Amino acid sequence: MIKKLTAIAVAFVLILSVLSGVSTAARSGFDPSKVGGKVVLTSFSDAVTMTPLRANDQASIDIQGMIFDSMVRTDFYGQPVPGLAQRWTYDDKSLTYTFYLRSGVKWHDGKPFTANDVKFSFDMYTNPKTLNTYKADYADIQSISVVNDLTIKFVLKKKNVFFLTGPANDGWIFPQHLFPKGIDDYNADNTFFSRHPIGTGPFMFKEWKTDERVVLTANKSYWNGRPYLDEVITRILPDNNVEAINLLKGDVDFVQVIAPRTIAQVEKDSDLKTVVYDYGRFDYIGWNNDNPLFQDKKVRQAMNYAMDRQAVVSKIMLGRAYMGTGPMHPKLPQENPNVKPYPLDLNKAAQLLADAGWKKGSDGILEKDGKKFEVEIAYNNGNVTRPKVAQILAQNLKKLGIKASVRGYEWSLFLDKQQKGELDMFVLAWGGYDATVEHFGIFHSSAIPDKDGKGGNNTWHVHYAKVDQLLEAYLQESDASKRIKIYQELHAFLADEAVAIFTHHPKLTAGMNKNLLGVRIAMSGPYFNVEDWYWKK
Amino acid sequence: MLQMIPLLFIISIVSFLLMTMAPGDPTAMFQNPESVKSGKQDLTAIREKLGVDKPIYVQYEKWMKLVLQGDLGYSFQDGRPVLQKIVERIPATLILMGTAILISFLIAIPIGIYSAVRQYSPLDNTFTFLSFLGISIPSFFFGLMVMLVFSLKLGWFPVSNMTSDETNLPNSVDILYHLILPASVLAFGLVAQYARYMRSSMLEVIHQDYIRTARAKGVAEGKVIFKHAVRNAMLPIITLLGFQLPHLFGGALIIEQIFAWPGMGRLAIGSIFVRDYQVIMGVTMVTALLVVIGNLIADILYAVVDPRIQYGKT
Repeated sequence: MIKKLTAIAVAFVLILSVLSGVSTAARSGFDPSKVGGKVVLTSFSDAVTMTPLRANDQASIDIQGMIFDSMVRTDFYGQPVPGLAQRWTYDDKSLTYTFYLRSGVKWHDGKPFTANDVKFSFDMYTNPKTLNTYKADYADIQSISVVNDLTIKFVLKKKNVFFLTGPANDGWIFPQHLFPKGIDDYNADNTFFSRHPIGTGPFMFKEWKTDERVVLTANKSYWNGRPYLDEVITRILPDNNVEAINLLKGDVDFVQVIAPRTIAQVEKDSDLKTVVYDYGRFDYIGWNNDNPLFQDKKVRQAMNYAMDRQAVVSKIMLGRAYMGTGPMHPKLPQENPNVKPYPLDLNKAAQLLADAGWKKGSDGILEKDGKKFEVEIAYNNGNVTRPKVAQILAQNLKKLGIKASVRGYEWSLFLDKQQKGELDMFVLAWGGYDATVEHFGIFHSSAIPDKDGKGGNNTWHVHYAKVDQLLEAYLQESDASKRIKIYQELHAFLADEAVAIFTHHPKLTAGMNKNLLGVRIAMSGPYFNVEDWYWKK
Repeated sequence: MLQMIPLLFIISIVSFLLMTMAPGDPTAMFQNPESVKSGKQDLTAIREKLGVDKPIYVQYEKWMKLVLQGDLGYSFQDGRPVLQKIVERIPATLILMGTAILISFLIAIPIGIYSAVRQYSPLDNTFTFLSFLGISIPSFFFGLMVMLVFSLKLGWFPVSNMTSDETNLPNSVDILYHLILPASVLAFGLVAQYARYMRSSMLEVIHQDYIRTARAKGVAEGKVIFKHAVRNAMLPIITLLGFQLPHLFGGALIIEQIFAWPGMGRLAIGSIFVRDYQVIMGVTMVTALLVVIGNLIADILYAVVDPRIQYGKT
């Protein structure tokens, strides 16, 4: 009886809310007593623009993420959940997604949000004439049609199992009415919008002082209930020592990554706390697999046996890392649990090199066909971890009779040489992924850059028919568990082929005021739930 | 005066060549080989848009045409006019550099005079010691130390930036409050330099015959120093003052970086790191122009201070 009554009550409430047409209802678990206060975040560099997908720098992306919404959001584990779209349907035959948008959502300037805004935003993302550099991400969209104010259809060119967590999640929706000239307004630099954005997100733009700070205020009529914080300030602090001093002094409330050498000091401070979190990233020492030196699998495996991963984890990362086995992450299902890290084994490495035909010459250096084994391990200047990782490998390579040196390059130069395949070995990382990890762009043979460095991110020149086929199958498989199996297979294959030295997956340490509560850091980023952050009263 | 024009022209060619031939690529700022987010970008389209796919002379010609129309072009990074980016930094830069230079001249000149007149006295030795300390201590280290002591430990001053996020103070007071630390750190290094200049210049003067003559005539010592010696010893310092003009607008790279001061130095260093050619050229040319003008001002000031110098007559 009670159940029945409850059901009727629930139905009644549902009908009411549909009739009223306005979804001001707060998110579940909303607690009005948590409202209030401001939080000060930091960024190393100033944002570039607030026009969605016209920037790729972290500062712009972080701030835009608080101002704009997308149709689909992802939850803590990277799974799709409703955003501006309340629900959606998919028809496999016609490759059509139909999104039913939330009613009553308003832009920060008070104008109503409709399906036309969605269409306009995606037109900007897909139109070949726009200056959005992420077009490749939206290439699978065939056509977009507005059914009515709150319904929109996307027809795809081919199946894309990551459409919801990909384009539908990355594609921030921005207001058509502020782009009266369409593409021209989107392409124009330095527009009023690019410095004074209007979105539908939990925070509204308030002020941007170049190279000083960006201030956002709470959107009190946010469709998912207002954020607890009244204000979010991002201060531009270009030096991480100074960032730490600001945190210690209490001028800054949250620092997403504290440099290892300042962690102890932050931990000692009774007003602060630290949180160690997993970040979807792998660190590696790579090489160009087309380089004659590394074409032999035995040589590549020898490099792996010569790497002391334990020392990286315990001595350099002070325990705040997992040993690396491949390009996934131990906390993601795509990681193959049967793949073990290559142990440090110099005897085995020496044996493999000998098998590959490398013999010691009179000077103790390995030689083959009159050519000496000589490598330079490159890293980018300013990074504190990478020179140490490079040193560890170099020392062991010298023991094997390889003439190994380490060298730091200025970032832009490093990048240029790496992209062109001119570096012998490079210490680098790849990060920012979560359970929707997708490695097509860094391992598929079609993404190998040309001699001028153009064309893709497969800078290690990995090309195997099997890898291509696994990467392609992964994108077509709609069964999640089968999909995971495919990447586990990929993981095992890449590890066995030793396409690079996967050194470690760092854990990051955030530092914050101890009274700042509700912070949940997802693998995809530290500001995952910033609307739920609140101050202890 | 007119030789300024070919000079600036040559400077522009040399810097443009050096900049474009240096390794690195402006499109690097649009890629990040460490982040999934910047994975699939169309770099060819970016190159075309920026015009860096063209030969260097075409790029230079395009840039020069803009400059002749009084336009410094648009930033590669965010597309904002370079001139606007420079102009919006001028107030912050002037406040910081102006204060630091003014304070340091006011302190350094008396110190220099004293040190020269009482050469090798204990106080002179102390000043000499402090000067060498000021010249040799790296400003990033000194800045951090000052910050640790006066902001963190004593809590007297804010750590960084030029203004508070929220404050009840009037804007000028708020800026002054933020200005004290970075301006003092900068001034410490400058005082050291200027005091050394003033000391040696003064030493040179007081050993000259006319000073001895003045003393022999029985002129009071104070008058000898301040009327006869200082006025002449100031000449090289005025040249120095002229050279401070580009400095005044150019900002201080390291101090601005450490104290997160939104000045010209950060604009310059930021644009160099990402190879934002347009901004680099803009900043370089503005600085070059100021060096030239600074020299001109110094020349004019000579004539004011030293009546023996007259221009336009042979």
